Amino acid sequence: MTALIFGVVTVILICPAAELLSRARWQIKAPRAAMTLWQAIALAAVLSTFSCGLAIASNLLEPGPDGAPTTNPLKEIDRIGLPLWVVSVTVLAITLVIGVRLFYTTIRVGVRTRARRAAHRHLIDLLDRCDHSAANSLFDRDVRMIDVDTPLAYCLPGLRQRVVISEGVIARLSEDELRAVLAHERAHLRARHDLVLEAFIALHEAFPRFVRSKSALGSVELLVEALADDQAVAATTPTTLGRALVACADAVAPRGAMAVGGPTTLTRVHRLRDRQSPRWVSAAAYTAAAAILVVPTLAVAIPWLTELSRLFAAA
Amino acid sequence: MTVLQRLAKKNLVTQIRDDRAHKYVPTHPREDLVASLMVDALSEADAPGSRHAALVSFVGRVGAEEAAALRDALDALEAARDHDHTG
Repeated sequence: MTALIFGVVTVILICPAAELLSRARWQIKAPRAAMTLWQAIALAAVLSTFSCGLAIASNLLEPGPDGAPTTNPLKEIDRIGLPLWVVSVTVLAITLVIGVRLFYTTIRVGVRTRARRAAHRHLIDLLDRCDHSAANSLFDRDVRMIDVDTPLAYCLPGLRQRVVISEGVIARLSEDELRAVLAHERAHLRARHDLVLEAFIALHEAFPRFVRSKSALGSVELLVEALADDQAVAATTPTTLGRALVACADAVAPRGAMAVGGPTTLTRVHRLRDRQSPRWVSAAAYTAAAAILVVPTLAVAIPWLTELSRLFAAA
Repeated sequence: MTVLQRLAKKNLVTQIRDDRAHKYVPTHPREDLVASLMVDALSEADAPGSRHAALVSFVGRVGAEEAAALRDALDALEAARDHDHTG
């Protein structure tokens, strides 16, 4: 029963927690801590959903007078009553559906992403206009250039990673600014930010529409950029990165079009002014992340373990 | 020969049989391919919370209003930095 209560409490806690965290202003200043907290929340949400579902469904294993649970699920109707039986079976079914969905979506998102990436990589390798000669030390072997005036800079993550820039970027940016852009993309590739994004996309797609919130995915996307920005700043200066960001964003803007994304680029430029956050903020975030994962697990595991040891002692 | 056959398989060149020889012509002009790449990259940058993270863009696309706000933010950043250096 403890497991059930804790499961429900955790699920309830996690929804407001995600909502609160997505509005928190400190997260952009402590991206690494905030990212850890998001991952802890996501993991805890998945685990507590399953443990909650299974705890409710375990009513179906209610032992009879002889102490042994019946092997026939229909006979349990007599023991626990029809309403509770229906609830248990429904919850078990929902839990199983969520589990299968999560598994299936993760696979599907992974396959789809890789197929698109591979198709893009084949083309970019074919159309590459990059000068890889030794004189051009800025561009490593995995840098590709396309002859487009629109400033484009992006990376294709994965085992065969590519950094793609357009001629428009080279025309508009100074060498230092270009170095900032490359450092930013390299940071994405090195830290495999794509895997984090993929996990959150899969999670986002697996959960039913009324439960999920866009806040988690949106926050994680911004945090990933903030983390890469920090690397770019370390390689150059905040002002250099700021100039590169504005130069690239400005020219990409279609005339008269509405902003499609949130104001993420603006947030990123603003944060370059003041990236320091008090140390206790990060410490608190890390503690919260640990607590979210450890406390419910212990609360569920300890009664279960004591029960087990009592059984063994009795035997 | 094998290179061209592979490209034909990817539908990048078209194979034409000419008696016993094979002739190959590109299926799409270069500009079309570059344009398709650009569309792919921009559509990805367009949709935050999009359904795939096939590629990770440096910046998303911004509207006119945000572009103006961005320039203001950059001016503020540069001013603050200059102030730091002089002061």
